[in-house]
Amino acid sequence: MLLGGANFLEACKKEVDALNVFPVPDGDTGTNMFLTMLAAAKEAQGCEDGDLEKVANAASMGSLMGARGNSGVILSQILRGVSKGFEGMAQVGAKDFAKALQLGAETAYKGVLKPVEGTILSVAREVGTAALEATYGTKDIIIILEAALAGGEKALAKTPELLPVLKEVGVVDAGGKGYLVILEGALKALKGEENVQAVEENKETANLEKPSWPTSGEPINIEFPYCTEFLVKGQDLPLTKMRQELEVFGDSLMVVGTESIGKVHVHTNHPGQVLEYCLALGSLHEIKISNMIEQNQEMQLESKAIDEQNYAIVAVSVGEGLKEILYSLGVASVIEGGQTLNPSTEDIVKAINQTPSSKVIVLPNNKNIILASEQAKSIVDKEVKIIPSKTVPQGIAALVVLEQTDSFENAVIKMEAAIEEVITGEITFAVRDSQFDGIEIKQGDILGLVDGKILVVAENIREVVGGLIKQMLKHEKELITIYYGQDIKPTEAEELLAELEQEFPEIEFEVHFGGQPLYYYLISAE
Amino acid sequence: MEKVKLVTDSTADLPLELRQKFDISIVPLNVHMEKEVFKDGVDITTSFFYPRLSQMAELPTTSQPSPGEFQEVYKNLAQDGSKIISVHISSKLSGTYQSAVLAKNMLPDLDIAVIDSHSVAMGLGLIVLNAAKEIEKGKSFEEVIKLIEHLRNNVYIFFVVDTLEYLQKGGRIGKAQAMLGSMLNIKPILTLTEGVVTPVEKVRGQKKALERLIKLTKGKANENSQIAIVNGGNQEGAKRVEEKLIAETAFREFIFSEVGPVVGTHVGPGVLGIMVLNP
Repeated sequence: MLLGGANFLEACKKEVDALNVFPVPDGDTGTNMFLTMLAAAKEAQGCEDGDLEKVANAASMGSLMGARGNSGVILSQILRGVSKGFEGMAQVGAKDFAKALQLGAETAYKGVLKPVEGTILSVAREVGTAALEATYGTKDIIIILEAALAGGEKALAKTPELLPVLKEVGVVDAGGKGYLVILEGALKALKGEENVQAVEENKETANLEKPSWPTSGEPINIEFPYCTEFLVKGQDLPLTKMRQELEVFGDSLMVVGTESIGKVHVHTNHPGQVLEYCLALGSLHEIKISNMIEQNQEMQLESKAIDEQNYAIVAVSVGEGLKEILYSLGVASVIEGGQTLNPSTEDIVKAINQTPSSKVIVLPNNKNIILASEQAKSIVDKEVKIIPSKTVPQGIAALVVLEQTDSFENAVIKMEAAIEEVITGEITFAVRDSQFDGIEIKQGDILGLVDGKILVVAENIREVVGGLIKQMLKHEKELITIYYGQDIKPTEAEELLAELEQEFPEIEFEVHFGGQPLYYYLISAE
Repeated sequence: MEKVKLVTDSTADLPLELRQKFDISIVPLNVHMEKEVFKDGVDITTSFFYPRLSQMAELPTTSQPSPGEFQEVYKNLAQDGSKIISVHISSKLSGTYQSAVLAKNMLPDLDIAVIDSHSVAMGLGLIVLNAAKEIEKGKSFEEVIKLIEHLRNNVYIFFVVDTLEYLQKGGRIGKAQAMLGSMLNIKPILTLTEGVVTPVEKVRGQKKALERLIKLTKGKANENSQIAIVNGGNQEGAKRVEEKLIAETAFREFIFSEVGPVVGTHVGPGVLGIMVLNP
């Protein structure tokens, strides 16, 4: 059933993505929910036992670690509730199934600080209610699920009434739709309509690692020091057999793929033997072997230098330049935001655990990553504070005010205050036609956003930059910093700087290489 | 009436007229630049120094005057029976105070009081000027010593540097501190706490830096404060500080001075500072 849900969501991913109200190229709901389901399905697959409780639990844990984006986190909460509903059961009957759906919704509501109606939460609630009602009439799970789905569709149709922005754009809530798609897929699988295949790797997920359970922050197990990763290309690759046989070579083994391409990842003492084994099955590609003891030592040395403070800072960002800037401001670990891919809960957990400090401050730098950060916080053993930064410039401002002598508590206070002082501007392109506050947007138009609101639309970048800066200056700011993305040449950025200095002689400007994808310029005004 | 003479060092940045007016003796520190040694304020001036500072391949170094140099000055001044008060740059920033103490110990027959100002530049300068005025009024050796000891607890210095590089190379702050924010043109605001350079905060942009300087000054100043505006090769910046102080406070009279090469080597060109003395 899970696999059915995941597969169908993958197929409808684009449809769900298209519902995203905001026409900006960002971590999309469909993709995020799919990846979360994928993580859940993988874990469930790994369960040898057909025992429902165990499978559900595995799925819940998998989604917990693999959760990406706010929608992914909420989905993982739903799964958590559902799996709790299956506690102590090896199989489930109709009534318990319905109860579990209800419990899923309740758990999700509890998991969010400020539940908003008109989102996946409302849809999940109606699904649970409809499922329970249906149990009065029948004991057939398929009928109950169909009823639940119908209830959900009704709730989904109502979401524009509850969230005005949905009405304005003329769509239903993406998260809600995503959940229903999953249920639909599950239904199809139950009915035997679709061929349920093992969840496949595709190029988007090729870089995901198998979720590993967080340790108490100890450095990696150096019993098997060579981290070995490669692709095997061949025919009829016996992935399951490979998994069984490669197990003896070390730990953290992961073998995923299809009959023709497999990806192998293992920590071993004998990388040569692992390679030899796979050579017999096909050709080897993209081979990476690293010595983790060496890497760990280097890290220890580096972190000793940073660890003069009693706390460490972890931040999320995308872009080589931005990464460097964050490191230069004292960040211990930068988590890659990924291209339209929000980091998973696990990515954040790993980064937190990698720092040697027992107190960590997290800068999500994106409002879609805040929930995953909260989830990571609840998993790790350390004292974690999350500064609710919604953009990288906010994160940078928070870092600038820090002094080495600041205590953990003082730092948090300073940082929370600092993010309020910055206004963030973003320049990107529209991924679809849309309409906002009466402004018509065509796909490909250049958009200028200020603190998340689309304020300027035009056909060329220069016009939008000028208009955006004018908007930002309404707030009496004096210093404007521009970070140019990977699609902008340095000469372009310099020309822009010269023009802006002429146009706004009262303002101090700074230009830096950010290297971020999709956003031509990130602008901060202070 | 007791005859009391004042001695300080070249880091006090006291302009010539004031030195002559109050008969203040200066013992110069040494600036080692491009294989030559210059006496601070004697053989080398700020107008020569600052334009060259950022171009030099190797950063100049500085060293304290020798005890022998202090001895000579003390002996000269004491010839007419004067008592000597010798006030100097913070002992945490330079070995000058040590040299003076050694010299005093070699002259047990003379009445010499060597005092650590816990300060530098015009912070030290303001203390010395106030002491000089009291001596002119006829205050005694003991009274002036007491005054200086009181004043040194009521001097506040806030300055902003263009880069922390010079402070780090000169060994006045740690490397880790210096590196933070080096990519982003961050302007660090610093002060002197118990004679040691300590960070106050970091801001981005010249304008913000000026704003913060003024705010910090207002925080410590009262209606009787004496205020000095200092700069290192940054006359323009000093003017803007003055404009802002006039615009935002009731203060109208300021002492202007340029930070000498010894301190300049350690803070770098572009430094701007405000010194407040509350008598």
